[in-house]
Amino acid sequence: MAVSNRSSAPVPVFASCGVDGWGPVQDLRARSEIELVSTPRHASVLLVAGPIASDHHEALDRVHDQVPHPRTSVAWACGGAPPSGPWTPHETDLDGLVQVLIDAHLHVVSDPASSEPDRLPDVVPNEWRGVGPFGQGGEGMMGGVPYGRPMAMTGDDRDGLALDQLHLRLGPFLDALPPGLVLDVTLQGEVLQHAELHRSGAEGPTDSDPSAPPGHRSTLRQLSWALHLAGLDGLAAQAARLSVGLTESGQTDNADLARLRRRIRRRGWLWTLRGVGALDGRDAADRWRSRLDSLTTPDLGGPADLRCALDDLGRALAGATLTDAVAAIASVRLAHGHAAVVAP
Amino acid sequence: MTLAALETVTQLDPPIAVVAVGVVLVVGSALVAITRIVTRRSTAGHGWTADVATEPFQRARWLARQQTVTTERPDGITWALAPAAYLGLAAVAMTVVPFSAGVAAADVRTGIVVFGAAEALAIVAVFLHGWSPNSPFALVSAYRFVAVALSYELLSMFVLIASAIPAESLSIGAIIDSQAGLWNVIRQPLGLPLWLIVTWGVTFSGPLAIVDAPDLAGGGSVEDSGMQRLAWSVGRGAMTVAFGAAGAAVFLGGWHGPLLPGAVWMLVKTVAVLAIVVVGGEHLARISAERFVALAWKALLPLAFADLLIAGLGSL
Repeated sequence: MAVSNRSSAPVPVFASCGVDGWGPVQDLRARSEIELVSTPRHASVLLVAGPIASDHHEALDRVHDQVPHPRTSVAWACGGAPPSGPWTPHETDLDGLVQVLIDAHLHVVSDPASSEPDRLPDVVPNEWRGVGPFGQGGEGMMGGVPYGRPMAMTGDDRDGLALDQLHLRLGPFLDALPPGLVLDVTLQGEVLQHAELHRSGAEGPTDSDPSAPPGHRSTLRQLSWALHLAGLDGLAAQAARLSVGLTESGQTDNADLARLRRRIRRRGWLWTLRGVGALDGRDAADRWRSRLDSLTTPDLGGPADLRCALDDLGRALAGATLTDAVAAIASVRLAHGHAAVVAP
Repeated sequence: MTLAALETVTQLDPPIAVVAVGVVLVVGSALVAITRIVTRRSTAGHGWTADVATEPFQRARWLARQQTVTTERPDGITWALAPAAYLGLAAVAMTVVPFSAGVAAADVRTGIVVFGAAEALAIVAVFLHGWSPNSPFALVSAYRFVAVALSYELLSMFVLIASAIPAESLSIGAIIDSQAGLWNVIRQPLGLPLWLIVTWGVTFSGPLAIVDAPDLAGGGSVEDSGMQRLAWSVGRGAMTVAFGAAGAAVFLGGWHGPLLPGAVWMLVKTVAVLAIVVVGGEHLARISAERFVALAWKALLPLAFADLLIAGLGSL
């Protein structure tokens, strides 16, 4: 279906996805009219896809307010389940969504006064309350939790240095993490001293994908996202296009998949993942290699599922750099439900 | 001044030099952006038309009208100065690269020292860009950059010095003159591949795109929008052009070539190096900072030493 776009520059969209909306949103990487950006500051349109867990609504409001003016937002009820919140969800297919996004962008750019106002008040979350009776808030204090944020204090790290420890909460709408995942880390430089993974308290519905060979579409979508994280946006678009093609015909085109596999190998992506995210003796490169094998040779049985808890994954990430931790999490397939992690 | 008058001066007048360097950097930056868009669209299988030439300008126009956001307690002065410093250092690096025989903004006797100094100070500009917004992803990206910077800086030092040995001068004009018989890419074959890695490093693009990386939610640019983001993009493009031009001058013989005037050869060779930088960069997966440092110190620096040795032996 042809889409009209008065300019050739792609529309920058930041996608905040619920667990169900994440997969269909990855198919947008196949479209040249849309650019899925990794930070809301680079976006013009905020796309809210699928139902968002209730304990992430405030985070979604923050992300919305981080999109610079002129901003607009589009809610997409992909697969039938609409996102709850103060917007009218569009129930449409991928082509329809692309046109809605383009129209929303062009409208708000041509009429900046129609830019959406902030959802949250623009005030400091923890007010200054002066010097307390025990001297807290005064000068010369070290440590503690001023303004609600843990002050960075030094601590020993793996390399024999004593760097400041930053306590951060990453997610739930971080582009580099799977949907709905929150990562509480203690960072020294780029090294994770401590990592904990959480999902939303609300249980999500199970993964149902009857129209495609089991797992192939979700594998291609995850591959597209992982290639985007590795900086290979062209290949990410190819993987997304194969995922979309799967849906329509219900068959895999082995020649296309083999070609994609060859190109991935030539880019050296799997080489960069060697030794990253070792779980049960297999690293991220092994996991992706076996997934690519299962795509291109469908008779090959998949390797045995490894189940481990989010806690174990968090413990395995301690001592890794943030780069490697993100690559490791991207290589792991997270099952629905808040307790289990399924790898490869 | 007429073009004929320009050809007769050994150094350009300062106003003309500023304009010439500025035009080269801005036009080159747009060309780099267009090449990147074309490469990405071709790899994605989307195809492209002549319209892509307008895409960077449409994006620039949109950014110019977008709100420039501020974060909570940023370091405002350095945040604004970082892109200006980066662009300024690209301009400084460009001034010592001649446009043609006898036509240069400032072809000083210590050209590659000035070039190296600009490259080293770029570390400060990129670190400040990550430090200033008071945002954790930006800070981590700044750490990553400082981690790899020394590695690629050393590579660039050695390959530039190797190219200066046959010229017996540190001036880039003299280095070009020394290639009148044979280009450095032939007699010092390790130089240009290592220079590509240096270019990717200093412009944090290609396999070394670790600073503004998507796995860090945009890294140093995570809080950038509007004019702030536009200035940073132009700065990166300009630095790419400066290093592409230097690569063409130092390894591909600069203005030497049959039939066409020197300036045209310089342009053709710069465009060729830029094409390799951009297209090659798009075709390689991003490597992590840790892995690059290991690779640089175990494999690439020994190659740079070998390049120096080859240059020395060739000059005996």
